[in-house]
Amino acid sequence: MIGSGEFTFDGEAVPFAAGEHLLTALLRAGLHPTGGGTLCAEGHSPHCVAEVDGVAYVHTCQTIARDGMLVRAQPIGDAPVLPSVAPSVRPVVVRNVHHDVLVVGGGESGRAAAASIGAPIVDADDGGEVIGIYPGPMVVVRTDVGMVHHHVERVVVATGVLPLLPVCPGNDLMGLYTPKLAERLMAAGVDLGRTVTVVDPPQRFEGGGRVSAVVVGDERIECDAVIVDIGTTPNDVLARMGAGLAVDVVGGAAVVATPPLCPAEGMVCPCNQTTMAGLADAWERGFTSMELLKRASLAGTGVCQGAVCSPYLQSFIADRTGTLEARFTARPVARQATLSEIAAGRHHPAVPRTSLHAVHEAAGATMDRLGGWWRPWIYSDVDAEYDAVRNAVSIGDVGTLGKFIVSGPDAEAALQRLVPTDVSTIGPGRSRYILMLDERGYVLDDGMILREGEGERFFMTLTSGGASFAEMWVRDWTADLDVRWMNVTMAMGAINVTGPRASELLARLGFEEPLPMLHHIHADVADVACRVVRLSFTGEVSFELHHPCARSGELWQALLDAGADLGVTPHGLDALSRLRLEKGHIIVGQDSDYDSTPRRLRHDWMVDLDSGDFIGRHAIERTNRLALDKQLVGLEGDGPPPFEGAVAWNSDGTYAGYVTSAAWSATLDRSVMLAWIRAVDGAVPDEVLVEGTVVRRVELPFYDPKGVRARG
Amino acid sequence: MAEFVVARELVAAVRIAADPNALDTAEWPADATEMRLAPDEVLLLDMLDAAAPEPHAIVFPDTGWVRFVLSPEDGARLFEGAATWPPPSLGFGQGAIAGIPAKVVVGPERWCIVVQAVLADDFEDRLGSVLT
Amino acid sequence: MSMRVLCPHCGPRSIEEWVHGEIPVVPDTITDPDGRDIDRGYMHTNPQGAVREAWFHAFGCRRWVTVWRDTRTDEWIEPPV
Repeated sequence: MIGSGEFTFDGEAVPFAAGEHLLTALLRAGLHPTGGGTLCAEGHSPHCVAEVDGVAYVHTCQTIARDGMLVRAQPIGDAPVLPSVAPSVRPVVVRNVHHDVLVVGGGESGRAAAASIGAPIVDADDGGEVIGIYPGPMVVVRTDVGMVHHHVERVVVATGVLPLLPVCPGNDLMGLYTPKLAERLMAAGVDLGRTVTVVDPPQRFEGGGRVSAVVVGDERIECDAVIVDIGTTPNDVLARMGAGLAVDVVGGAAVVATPPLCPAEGMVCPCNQTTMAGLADAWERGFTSMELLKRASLAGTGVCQGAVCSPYLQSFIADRTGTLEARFTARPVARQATLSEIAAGRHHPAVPRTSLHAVHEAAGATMDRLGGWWRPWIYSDVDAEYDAVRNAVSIGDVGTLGKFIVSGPDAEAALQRLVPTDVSTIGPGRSRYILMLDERGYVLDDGMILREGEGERFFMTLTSGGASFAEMWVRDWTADLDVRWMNVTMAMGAINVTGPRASELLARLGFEEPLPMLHHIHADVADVACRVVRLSFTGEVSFELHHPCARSGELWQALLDAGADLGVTPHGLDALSRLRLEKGHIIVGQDSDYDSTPRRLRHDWMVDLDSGDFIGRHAIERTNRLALDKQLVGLEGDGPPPFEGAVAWNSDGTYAGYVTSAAWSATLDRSVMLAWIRAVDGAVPDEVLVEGTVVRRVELPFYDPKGVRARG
Repeated sequence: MAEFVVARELVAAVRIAADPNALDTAEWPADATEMRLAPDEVLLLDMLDAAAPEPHAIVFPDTGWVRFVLSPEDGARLFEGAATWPPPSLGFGQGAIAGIPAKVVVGPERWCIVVQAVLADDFEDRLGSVLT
Repeated sequence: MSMRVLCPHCGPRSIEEWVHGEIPVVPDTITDPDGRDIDRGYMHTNPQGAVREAWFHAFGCRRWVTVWRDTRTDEWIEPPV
């Protein structure tokens, strides 16, 4: 014996010869991977699977032994034991290749097919194990150096035939081999003892653990090993997987085979320990077709994908109905594969970083993924950030806003359709806060529409999270109009300059024009060309500076430098969230839900039913006729703020709703929150209980109700 | 920066949204690289401004793109390891590379891959994991 | 996993590059305007066979493509006559 190394099987050292499969070495050592059952050399019998180097369900008949491998028994019909320590996982590389046609299977029919069309072949015996055929079609193959994804126009499945595995009492004993495996074992010098070859389905195998005799017909033959040569069956797992795809099946895999005689008893599905009696029981319960029988008995749902049972399921049904039913559908994967192998070539979504990302990191900000972007949550002191906005001046990165330029003869008509407001009344240089509704009248997004000084041209901003969806929405709804949309979300930076001294700071950087609320203008700030928009989300005087994203860094720094003595401080999203909450401004997606009509959100003042046939109009008219069932309202309490999502209860113990936003208001010295509260007898109650404390419903906004501060 | 990357640079570009027919017949300076993003949208690299091809066109000087220049060998390897679509044999193509939307211009001497600046750091990381 | 959608502008691209858009079909038998709204908004017929649907090429041209698909086989088909 050419010993070229050792692996261990359940701790026992097993020597192997160079190039030998694990199964060959195990059988030479008198071991059986699963303790019994007919073994094959094609990777189809489930009886040879074991855990190899931490990977479960590995076919030992397909795996070349390597020195130091750790092999552990994994009884079939049972789940593998999860490792107590997470194994180290390395990414698996993938190679994408493109062909017109790929042939699967290197046998006679495969070679003939490949030769006639000049197509490449993938074959398990040549290091290419097909994991599955996916829509595309795409053929996923495992090789020694990683995964290969074949992107093709057409697949030819030429996987030939498989040896029929026996179903009868005793088919779970050791010492049962297919002819091909027996040949391989004898070539490797494995002593099988007294062998007998059976060509007719046996009545039973006898023995304790290992086979000692086989009964065929009336004859009982004593032996140490049985070579089971009882016929073949189409190897059609990949063909069944490719049903409906551009997949041709040729050769033995394509033959509609006559099923074997229906066995009277025995284990028909070793993977799930289903016996012939189990099939009969399922049939009695009314599961009388192939797909139902499979689901009821579990036969065919195991690791071998029906390699053993599918011909017998056919004969079982044919015996009872007289018809030959097609085999059940197969789904990927056709072979065990690790999550790393399945994940090969897949990428998680990349989260965009604003043009100020590096600036925030350098300033020590805690960055988080919010609304689909990396954004600064807190720089260092959220209270100081809040104070700077309320009492001095602050800057915030709002480059994540969705941003669109709209132009064309039908630009106004397009916007009229998309938003429930009369866009024709937005004058040049003016802007308006808008909602976008879906056809059900629910709020999809909110933002601003700005009309340029001249021509049919607009600028539209939307929420950070909604921009990607909004582009699909607006293009879909305006495809019939003569309008051009340009999504400039990723191309433009935006900085919000906010606080009572915001105008003073901008004046120092060359922007001195008085700009009233909801006006906008193109102007230079610190020599950077900006669109300056006067609005307010924080409740203080605010200017959004929209600018080319390549210049964000210098604009940000210029604002910090020029405002140092004013106390300018950047604010993160935590501070911004408190500031806007004090003003009662909603965040779509946080405070709104999937069924939020403007009326439920108390934003019905933004819906102008005289503004034409906007999306959602009919739904709004319909739902306006219904009694109001719930509302987003402002609540305040004297205790600490509840967690966002806290449940609100009525005084009689009934469910009232839940909190969507909550914060401690330093300015007002109490907790403020937004919450969905159900109407009781047509009215939203004045008080509810949240986290055991009474909170009062109040009119919004909490802070500066007349908007004096924002107007400056 | 990983050694296989020939260059990573912010690229001067102009993006134009216009009537498709106007874009079909428009002529751009010879040294500009044209990327036809969509029938009604074009991205012109190495340009600072452009004339509007029709009255309602949106002409937008766009600083939001980063260009990676690769050798043809590395370009081909990048596609093999990270793209499910074949690269154009010559000229412009667009689609996902390593899970990031990318534009490519395949030339005989070099491949230019352009991605949005907001995703450029991610793209460089992923490019590195494929090519090293 | 890798079903491809043909983009008339960019070429065939795998499904990961696309966002699916349902095109609701309201049966002609529903004539009441509110009923049509409700059907369009809430009822999903999920038919077996030919469906007209829209796909948005998010990783390429960022435009919608309208196609017909056979839901039984996921094949792209010609519009039924």
